[in-house]
Amino acid sequence: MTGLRSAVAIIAKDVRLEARRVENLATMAIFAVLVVVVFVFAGDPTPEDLSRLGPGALWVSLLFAGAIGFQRWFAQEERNGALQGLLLTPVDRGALFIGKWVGATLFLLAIEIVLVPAASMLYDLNLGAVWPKLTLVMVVVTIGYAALGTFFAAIAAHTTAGQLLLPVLLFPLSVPILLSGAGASQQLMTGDGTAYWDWVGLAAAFDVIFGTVCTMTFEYVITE
Amino acid sequence: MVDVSRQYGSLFALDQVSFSMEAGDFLVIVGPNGAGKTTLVRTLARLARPSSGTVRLSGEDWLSAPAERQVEVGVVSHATFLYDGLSAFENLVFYATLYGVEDPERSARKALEEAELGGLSDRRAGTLSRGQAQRLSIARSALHDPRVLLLDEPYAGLDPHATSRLGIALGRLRSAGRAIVLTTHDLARVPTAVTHYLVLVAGKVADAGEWSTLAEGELSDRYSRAVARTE
Amino acid sequence: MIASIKKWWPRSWRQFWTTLDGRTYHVLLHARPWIGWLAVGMMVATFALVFWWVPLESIQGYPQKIFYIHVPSAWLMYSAFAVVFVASVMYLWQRTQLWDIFARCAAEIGFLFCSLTLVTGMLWGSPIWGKPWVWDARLTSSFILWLIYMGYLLFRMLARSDIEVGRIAAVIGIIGFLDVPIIHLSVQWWRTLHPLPVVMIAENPGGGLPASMLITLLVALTSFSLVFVYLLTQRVWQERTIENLGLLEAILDRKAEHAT
Repeated sequence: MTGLRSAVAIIAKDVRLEARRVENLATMAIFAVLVVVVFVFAGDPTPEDLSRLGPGALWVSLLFAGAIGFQRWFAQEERNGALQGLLLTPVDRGALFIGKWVGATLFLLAIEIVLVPAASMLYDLNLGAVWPKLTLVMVVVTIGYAALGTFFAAIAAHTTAGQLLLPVLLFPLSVPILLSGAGASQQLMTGDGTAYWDWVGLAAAFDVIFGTVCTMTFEYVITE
Repeated sequence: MVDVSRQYGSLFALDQVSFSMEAGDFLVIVGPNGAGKTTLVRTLARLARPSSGTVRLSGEDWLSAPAERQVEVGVVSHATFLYDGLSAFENLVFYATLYGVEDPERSARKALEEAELGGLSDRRAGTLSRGQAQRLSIARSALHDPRVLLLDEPYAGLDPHATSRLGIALGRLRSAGRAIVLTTHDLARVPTAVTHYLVLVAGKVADAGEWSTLAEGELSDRYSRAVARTE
Repeated sequence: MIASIKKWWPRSWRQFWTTLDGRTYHVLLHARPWIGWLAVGMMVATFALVFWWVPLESIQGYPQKIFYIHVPSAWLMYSAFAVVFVASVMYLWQRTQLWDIFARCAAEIGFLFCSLTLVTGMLWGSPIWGKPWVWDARLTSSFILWLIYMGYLLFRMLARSDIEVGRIAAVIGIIGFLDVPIIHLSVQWWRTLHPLPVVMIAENPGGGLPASMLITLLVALTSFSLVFVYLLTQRVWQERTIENLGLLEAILDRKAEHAT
């Protein structure tokens, strides 16, 4: 299956490029942590408020980091016209999308590996017991967010104010997974637990639906 | 065997442009900026669709052919399509993989040798000079042995030395089964291997013919006349 | 009359799809004056019913009457988006300009009704909640839909001129429409986990609308729908005329060019 081979090649290329300039990912991780820090200064929470605010700040930070990241990871195809080079190959547009999607997911996960421990320390979150479930929900939500984010980064590239339009288009449409992530982590923190799987299920369904739709319609978005 | 004939009017950027080529031909398309050369190349490469007209490759309609057949075309533009962060070798392997070339690494190595870039194979593409990058881009475009090679203003930004090296590289690309189309606005930098010429002005074919029929410097005369006619 | 119906009727299944946009437009344009007058009439009737016939709701009083604008607006903002969805899908399939025109005009008018829904929602809620905004599930979902509409329209405004705007806008419309029910669901779940103290009362505590309210609501729904169809037809006609004029201009320019 050449589609699979191409997608893997694209993922490998993106990972290699990002790994060679680790400072880019590192800076984004620092940005994500800074957002979480700023929330504390802005909200001035009491120690009791902290652990309630924590998950929220975490997801907001991820949202913003993603908004910046998607645009960057797609923009690197614009330099030297590499995107045209890609379009000139017989690569299936869906495979092209999947390649960029998986890459974006991996990068966001890399940022989360830094962000989550930092946030749990800053917000005094007790992740000891719940971290496997938290990891699960973060992975599922990141996958869905990366799908929409990569897709709309390609769309926003066609506009004159791409960096501004991307969040405007992306955030409303991402509300379900944002609510899922926030809702699920709330469930984990307050120990209620029952709705956790509902939220994860919703996020997973979101991933499947939009992963499929975006893969199928990417060809309409990418050709110039 | 490449046989192309088309007419289109897309934003009237191209107005009933029609010509045909055979395998082994080397066509140079000259014209001023904005004449529609890039639009023509993009249409032939299937990056853009014409509002009307057809393109035929070996007698079959090209524009509606399946995406896999994209492998029959290679394109060089003034943009290099290279990834600055990857080495020359890695860039070629990447594109070879996407084009479905068997054993991409061997093809990449061979292409680097032929382009006389072997010593630079591990250099990041972003550190190459413009001339080297263009030669690498040409190597990239021929990796999958395309039947049609389209070069859109490949000489842009090259000094005389790099220009002559590019001309040599282009000459090596000529083969019996391959048709080459090159566009340029610079009449002084037309490779010697050219077999046909076409003058494109304001989206219309102003003049065309065989290269061998032209006398010394006759092309620039015809070109100036064609440009003057449209003003 | 029979002849014009015969002319209108498609000849084959395939032709049904390729000419659907033209025939829909044709029908709408012909019916436009009728729709317009009927809409006016029904709006007057709605007004009369709301203020002189329907009984005053016991708990909320006069503000409750906004319900008769709020609910039809909400119905229309969703219907308009459905039109955008269908037109977008058809555009990607048939690639005719008319479908793109339908999509963007429906989006404009839908955005209008979405704004109306939000404003009436806030006006209705203010006296009841004591503040203009609460994170009620329906209001929140409507707000997000408003943002999606806005994003769609913004994209059309900010797109570069050298690309095929309609194609990408169609994709945005499709994804947006598919997302709306999911957004609805997620917001509702979110709200049930942390319910608001005061919930918007649209029905009797015993459940179900009294007959008089239901009738008034249906009349209101019908009149608003007619207004929507009328506005859509008008807008589409306007856009089509503008495009035709542009085409004529281009043809004339070209002829002049060839003449010299």
